[in-house]
Order: sequence, then structure tokens, then C-alpha cells
Amino acid sequence: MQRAANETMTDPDLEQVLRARSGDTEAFGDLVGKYQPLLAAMLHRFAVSHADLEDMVQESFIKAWKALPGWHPDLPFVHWLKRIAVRTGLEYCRKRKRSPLVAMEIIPEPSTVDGDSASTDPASEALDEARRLLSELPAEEQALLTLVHLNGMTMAEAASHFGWTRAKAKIKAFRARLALRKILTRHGYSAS
Amino acid sequence: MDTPPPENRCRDWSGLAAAARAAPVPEVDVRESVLASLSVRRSACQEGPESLLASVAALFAGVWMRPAMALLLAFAAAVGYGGYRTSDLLSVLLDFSF
Repeated sequence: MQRAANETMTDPDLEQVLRARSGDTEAFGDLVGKYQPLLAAMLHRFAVSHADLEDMVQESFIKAWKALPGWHPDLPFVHWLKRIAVRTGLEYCRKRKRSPLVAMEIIPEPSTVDGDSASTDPASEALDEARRLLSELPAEEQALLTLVHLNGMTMAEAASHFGWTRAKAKIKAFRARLALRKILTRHGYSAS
Repeated sequence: MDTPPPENRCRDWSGLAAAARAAPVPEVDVRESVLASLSVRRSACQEGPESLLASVAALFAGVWMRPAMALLLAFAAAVGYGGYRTSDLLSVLLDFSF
């Protein structure tokens, strides 16, 4: 009872999520409005175009809606939502690897903020370059290092979003770092 | 493709990643499209049980189903007839063997 009371206090979205879970789409719409900037910030590092970013954010929320009956108040809603977003990002990486059209791309589309500044924005160019380098990794490792290096998560945090055990996370991280080092060396970067 | 990085960009991965993290996030507003998608799904679910029966009935009422069912029946009949003839033949062979 105390735990339930604490959960109610710690999760500010509990009431809204419970209403959404009972079918209240307006309540869910409020949650979408509240958390779409957060998901956009996470998934922006994956998406090579604005359209892809919108698709991924939308898909994440639709998945969350479908999975709401399985959501448990033990896990704060925002953490649960971020896990769904991370899996959406991982699927995106897998789809891009499978698509033959993507394999033919030489230069990805530039990150779009507004029409003119995006092309000269050094941060956006850096993001495009970093994405291009990470895209040479296998999908899971690409997604993991995107979260760690481009989103600023710790390895443990990123692994928890994937739902991996600690052992699996360590192995994945080790392999990912080795593979990234090779890619960076090949492209003339130092891996510090 | 082994391309060296441009001179005016970071040659160091940590610097590149730090610069990438600073990239501005575009504004995204998917609230309306998500809600619209939920409405479509909701009406599809509400029609679900009825539409399943209706869709099965429609499936069998389809023009292409009739020839397909006829072929299936003909195949079943052929298999049945073949089985009957085989058993008939076997019984004849058994008669000759004794």
C-alpha cells in the first residue's frame, strides 16, 4: 500500500495513463503531446530524414497504445515509453540494412531543421557524418552506440532500454566498440 | 568506402560525437496523426467480430472461390477414386498370390 502510494506520487502520468489504458484517446493524446519532443530527441539520432523521424515517433506512440494493456504501474510510463522508442529505433536500423535502396545511398539526406540553415549547420553535418559511420555496424550495435555516443546515455542505461541482461550488454558493448574502432581507423578517425 | 574526413571537421570520434549531440532536434507534431490512427484502429476493432464472419462469407461468395472449390472437390474425388481402384487392384493381386 505504501509502495502503491509512492508510485502514485513518483509517476506524474499515472492517472492519465490509466485513463488512456481504459480507452480514453484524449488522455493518450495529451501524453503524446507531452512526450513527443522527448521521443523526437531520442529518435532524431537514428533518422536520416524528417519524414523518417515523424514516422518513428508516430510508430512508437501507436505501439505504446497497443501495448498499454500490458503496462504495469511498477515501471514509470516515461521509461516504458522510451523502451518502445528504442526498439523502434532498432527496427529502423534493421530495415535500413535490409533495404537495397539504402545500400545504394552514398550520402544520406541532411538533418532538417529549417530549409536553409540545416545544410550549413556544423552540428547537423557532424550528426550526418556520425550516423554514416555508425551505419556500417550491425543493426543492434549501431542502435546501441547511437544511444551511447549520440544520445549521451550510459551503456547500462542503453542496455536497459533494450531489455538486455548485464552479461549480454557487456558483450554487445565490447563487440560494438571493437567494430567501431575498426571503422574509425578505416575512415581516418582516432577512436579516443 | 574509405574516405578521409574533411579537414574542417573533427578527426576525433569523441569530438564528432559531441558535435553530433549538439545538433538541434527538429520539431515534430504527430498528435493528430496518432489520434487519427487510433480512431481507425478503434473502428476496425469494433467491427472486428462481425466483419470476420462477413469477410469469411464474402470469401466463399467470391467469384474465384467457386472454380477453386470445384477443383478441390474434383481433386478429392480423384484421390478417393484412386484409393478405391488401388484397393480393388490389391485384392485382385492377393487373389492371384494364393
